[in-house]
Amino acid sequence: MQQDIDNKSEKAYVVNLSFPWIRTAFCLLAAFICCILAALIGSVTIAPDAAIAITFTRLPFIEIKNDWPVSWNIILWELRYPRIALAMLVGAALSVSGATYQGLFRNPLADPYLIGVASGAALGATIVFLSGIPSVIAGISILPIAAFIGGIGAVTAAYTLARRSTGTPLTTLILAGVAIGSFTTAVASILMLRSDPDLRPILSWLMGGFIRAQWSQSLYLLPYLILGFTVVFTYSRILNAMQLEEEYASSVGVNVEKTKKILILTATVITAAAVSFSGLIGFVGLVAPHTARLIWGSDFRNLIPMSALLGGCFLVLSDLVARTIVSPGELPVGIITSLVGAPFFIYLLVKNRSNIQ
Amino acid sequence: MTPAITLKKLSFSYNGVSVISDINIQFNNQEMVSIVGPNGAGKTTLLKLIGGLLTPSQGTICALGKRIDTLNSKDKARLISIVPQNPRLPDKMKVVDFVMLGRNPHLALLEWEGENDLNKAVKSMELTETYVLAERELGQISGGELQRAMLAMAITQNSPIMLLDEPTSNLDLSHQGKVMDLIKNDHRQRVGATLIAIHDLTLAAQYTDRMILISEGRIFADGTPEMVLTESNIEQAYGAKVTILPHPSGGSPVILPVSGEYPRTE
Amino acid sequence: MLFITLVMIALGCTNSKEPQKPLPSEPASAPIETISTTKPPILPAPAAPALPAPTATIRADIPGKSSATNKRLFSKHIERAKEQPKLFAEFPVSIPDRYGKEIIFDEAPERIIAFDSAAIETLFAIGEGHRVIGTHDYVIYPPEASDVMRVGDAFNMDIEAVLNLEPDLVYLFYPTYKDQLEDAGLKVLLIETIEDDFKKMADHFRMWGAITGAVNNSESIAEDFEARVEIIETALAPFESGPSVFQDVGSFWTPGNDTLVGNVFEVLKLVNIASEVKGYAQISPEVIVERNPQYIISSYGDIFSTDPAFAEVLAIKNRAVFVPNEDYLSVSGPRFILGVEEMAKLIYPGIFK
Repeated sequence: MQQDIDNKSEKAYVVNLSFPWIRTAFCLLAAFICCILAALIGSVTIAPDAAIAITFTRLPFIEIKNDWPVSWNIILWELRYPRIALAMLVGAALSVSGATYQGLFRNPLADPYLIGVASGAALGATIVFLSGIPSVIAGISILPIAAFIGGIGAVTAAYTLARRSTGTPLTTLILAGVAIGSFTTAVASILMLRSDPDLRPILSWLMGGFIRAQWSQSLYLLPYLILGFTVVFTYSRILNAMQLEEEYASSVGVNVEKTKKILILTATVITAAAVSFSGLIGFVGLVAPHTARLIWGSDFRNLIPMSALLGGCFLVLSDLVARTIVSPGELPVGIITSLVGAPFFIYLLVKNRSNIQ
Repeated sequence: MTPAITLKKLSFSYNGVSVISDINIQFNNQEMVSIVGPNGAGKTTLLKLIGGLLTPSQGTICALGKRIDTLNSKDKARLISIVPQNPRLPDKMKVVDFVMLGRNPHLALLEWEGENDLNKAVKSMELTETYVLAERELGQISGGELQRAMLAMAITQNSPIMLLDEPTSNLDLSHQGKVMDLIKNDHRQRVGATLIAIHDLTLAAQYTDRMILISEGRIFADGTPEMVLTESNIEQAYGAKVTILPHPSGGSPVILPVSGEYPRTE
Repeated sequence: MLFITLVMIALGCTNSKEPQKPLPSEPASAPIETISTTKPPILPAPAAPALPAPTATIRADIPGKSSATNKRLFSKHIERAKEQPKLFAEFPVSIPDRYGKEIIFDEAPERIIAFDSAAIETLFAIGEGHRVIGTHDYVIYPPEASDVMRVGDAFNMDIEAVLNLEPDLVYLFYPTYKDQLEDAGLKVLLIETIEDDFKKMADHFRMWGAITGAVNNSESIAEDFEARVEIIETALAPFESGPSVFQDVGSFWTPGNDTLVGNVFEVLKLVNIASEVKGYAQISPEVIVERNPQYIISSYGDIFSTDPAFAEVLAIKNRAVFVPNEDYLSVSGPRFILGVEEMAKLIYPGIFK
């Protein structure tokens, strides 16, 4: 055997461990272009040179002569840019969460709403809308808090239902999530039926949108996203190992139950935080990780950051379409993501017919 | 010298049914042991218990002197590596990435694989002749290649004790011998014990020095293959009549089932 | 990419004001102050319009005393009706429904189930509320109607309860249950809601008068309605167009010109900044900022005045954001005109007192 090692004359393949710089740079560039487009295009036409001037004049050491209408400045800085920022963050959050669930449940059809976050958040929001609780108490906006609590609560309920002394079987967790989700949806529906018939504000929120996104919302979401992303990214090597069956992963030293708890908690918190500001936007958490997988492969160390990037851009572009395609009107952004996402989902189903475990 | 594995009063029940009863046994370092027995006798369960994947209802398991129920996953993995039977594997994972998962017990949470780990993986792949498959996906390689890749991963783990569950069951003739050769080669380089659950009695007798015959959850016989594989033992444990001949090269017992009612020739 | 996002956020937050309320939940308690003296220059100096002779002066009753005031209003009609020459109820009466089918009434129905708030308000206003035995869940006016049984709503009708009440007329504005009820042997009158011209409401009042025989009361209310509309139209006749307006009915949903509210805007000569919208649609806030409305009517609370994005909009600078107290304009009945008058008074205080 020793001789065999020394005598390797030709390597049939060179194993490549290095990071795919070219693909990544290309996608970063595409993302950048995406954001530029979103900044320049909108229901109100703003001359590109004015837009650039308006943007750079905010920097402390740059002074540009102010000869554009005041409304343009406001439209860009108070309406459009906060929207792009929030869409980027929410898209990143949903994609990271989706990628994590797909890795944990070893199922390509898993999305961030799998175990009940969406329905729980919807119930929380519905209660605030319909109960007449003022939407701002002591300067703090109640709606996102209610949605967040609802989302976390639903997943906690599902997790508690599914837990066994030997651990938490994942298929049971999915079933529990479906059960809790159906229940919360039913309660929310009953509340809506029993209330005033003008449900437009609730339905608008539920369908998801960035119509009046604020800088403050991005600020609130950012720490959740940074923290959550860091945790998931740290675990990305372990997530790779979790692609083996649980017993097999355990035999290579992965603490499976602890990993499940940490990752489910993190992904749920990220999702709940995102959803509490943006409403329920579907398909982002499904489309972005899969596209990332097509480009970079299944290693979660690439997948996690690249899903975040792609998901953010996807949502920024979807929002761009949603707010310009029926100008001066707006469509809920969830409709656009569904129009793109549903065919993608069907394609996934067909492709995976033989592979679903 | 501390024995590699010690089992004391080991019992395991599942849903009220006793699968393993009161096993007391000891394996020493550098023993390559085959565990044989009829289907359902408890071979896989025994291996899983030893590997710490199942919790015994009663009794203790010690590996290199430490009780494995006191060890966390990582420490356990540093002592024991397991090659399971027919696990579901991610189709799209590359063989090299799969083999490198064996380095997991040696890496901290924040640590990623480096040059050193890659070299160890490459070495294991060369040992198991899977280096040519390095960039291929797990879903694209054959059963025999997969078995060798799993072996490579276990070797990369570099644990003194290795447990293998039916490593040759899915392989055709040409590969069975090859895989057993690889296992034996690796065994010789490790300082530790190798336990193989296997149902091919002839193959087991050829490659291992010690054989344990399990029947109905208990140890029926324990010794060299020649001692264990007697027509009487086999009839009692398997309920089957056999003829035993010495192997033309080496003399290890070759088990020939006696045919039933309708053999082709009288 | 995230780094750039972070930079953007940092820049954006340096000048932003406090966080704004997300989405409205309840109407504010009082309308925001009326316009300051800096009136937008679109209207030329108004010539003093001659007020037409008949009945009521424009009285946009400030809510707070609404039901008492309205009751006074209605009872006044009924008194006046006693002084007018009497009209006579004529049976049989034939009313064409939405599909042109003629529904014949040989006598006034005694047991009416009306799934329409406008019908309820009208029936009570002409003194025929005692004929109503059932209505939908969301009727809130008049107070006398609170005793009437609720049997679901137009989209979720409790059919069994309806059949149980044995009505001799079921009035609908939505066709979902029409066939089912007719198959059960009930008399159904399906009249479409008014979507285009709110002046047609007067004819609806007359219709109910004809059906119930209370032709005097209904004629009185109809005439009063028409008179009040005429006052407004006459007062605004000299002017080509009025100020621009944006109406928010929650989360930037706004009516286009082809809606009932759009029709009110037209009569009041207001320029709806969302005129090209068909029906109701959610409009982009960018467009609101660009089109710079002079007035904003916000049905569910004022989300505009504290929002930095709208700080430069004329309506906010002039403190011309109105939150109507009661949604008179949501029911196409006798109180609708109050909503029109309220809007007229708020936007043209110089003309309408």
